[in-house]
Amino acid sequence: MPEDLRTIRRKIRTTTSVSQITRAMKMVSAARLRRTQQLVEKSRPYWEGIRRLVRYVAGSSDGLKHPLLSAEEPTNAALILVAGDRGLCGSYNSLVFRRALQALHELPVKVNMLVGVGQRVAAWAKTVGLPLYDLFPAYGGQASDQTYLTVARAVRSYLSQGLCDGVYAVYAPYVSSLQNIPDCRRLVPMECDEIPGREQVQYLFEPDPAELLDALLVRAVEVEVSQVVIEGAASEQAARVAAMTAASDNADEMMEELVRLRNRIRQQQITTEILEIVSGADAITAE
Amino acid sequence: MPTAFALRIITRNGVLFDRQVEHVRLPVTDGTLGVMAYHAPLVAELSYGSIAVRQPGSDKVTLFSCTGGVLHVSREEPVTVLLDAGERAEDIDLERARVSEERARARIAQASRDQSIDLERATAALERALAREETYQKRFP
Repeated sequence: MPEDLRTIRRKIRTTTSVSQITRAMKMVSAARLRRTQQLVEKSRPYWEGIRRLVRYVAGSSDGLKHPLLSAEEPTNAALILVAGDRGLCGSYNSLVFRRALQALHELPVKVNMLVGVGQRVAAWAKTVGLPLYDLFPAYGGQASDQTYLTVARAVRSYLSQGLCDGVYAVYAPYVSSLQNIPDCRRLVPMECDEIPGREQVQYLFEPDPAELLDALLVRAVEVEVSQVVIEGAASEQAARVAAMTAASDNADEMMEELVRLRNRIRQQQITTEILEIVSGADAITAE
Repeated sequence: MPTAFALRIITRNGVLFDRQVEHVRLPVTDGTLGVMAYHAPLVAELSYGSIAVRQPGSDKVTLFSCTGGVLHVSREEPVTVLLDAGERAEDIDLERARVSEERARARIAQASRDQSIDLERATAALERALAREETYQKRFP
């Protein structure tokens, strides 16, 4: 073994401090994961309620048309990309970007606006040469639901200004802390196909149907977009926990190997020294 | 005929209320709306104010602040209130509501001169604050 003891001791020290850092990062992101996970769980009933209501109302009110509800594909779409502000979260960011490129090829519409959430999107857009219309921070999983609403409000204003008539999102839906595969979903126009097996209900509308639909869809757009951002944030934290766990485990494994190597070299040195003494002594007695 | 029905009040921050009730009074865009069991299917937009819920077999009324949302009444499902923002009257911080009322009023007054102020958001903040104060005062007169 050509390596000397001092180099190995230094390597052991480095590995120890690296594993301390990764362990600390793991704890931090685990705490943030819990927070964002709670946000996801708390906002889901509202999200599902609004989505269901949109379908009920669209299904029951004949002749009610709304641009945000049309069944046709939009002509002029915005794509929201939800990634992280920072790296060190395994393949999370790159998986999102890969899915985004795929989506840009596959989508049946022209994507005119690219909206990024997370600083990493800006760097990526620059390298692939795509212009970014707007960028929001992902807050590294520290923001509240109100901060995520700012993205939703911005998207709402694009729609009301007529900058786009459809919204798609590439993000990693939060399924569990182990599974978060990026997906592409259409947010606007909304799904309004009838729910199978449900009887048509004649609703009363208060105030009138058109106004009500407006009020409902404004909320629907907001909740759809903010849900996407919240779920992305939770997935990012989950990915970071996984990456940091793997890094800590790797560091532990490396430590074990290094310590074994250090012991062997030390033993070798001792053996050599003893051998020298013994052979010296032997030489003297032989004389 | 049972007089109670299931009511769910849901906000972005989770399910606020999920129980059998006898009567619920809600603020709608042109006044107040009362819902009892067997109400006709209805979808309504809510305005700001307070929601009063009466549970079966009791005269006690549970109050919630409400700053807009959507109400859904149908035969098959629980009556659902999807609230933009709201909380139980007991959870309202009156001091904070008063402070944000002041701030919102100041911003609205300034909006005509200052272009950077988002009037829509300031108005929403004012309505939120007023709804909280109103609900709190009803609960603790």
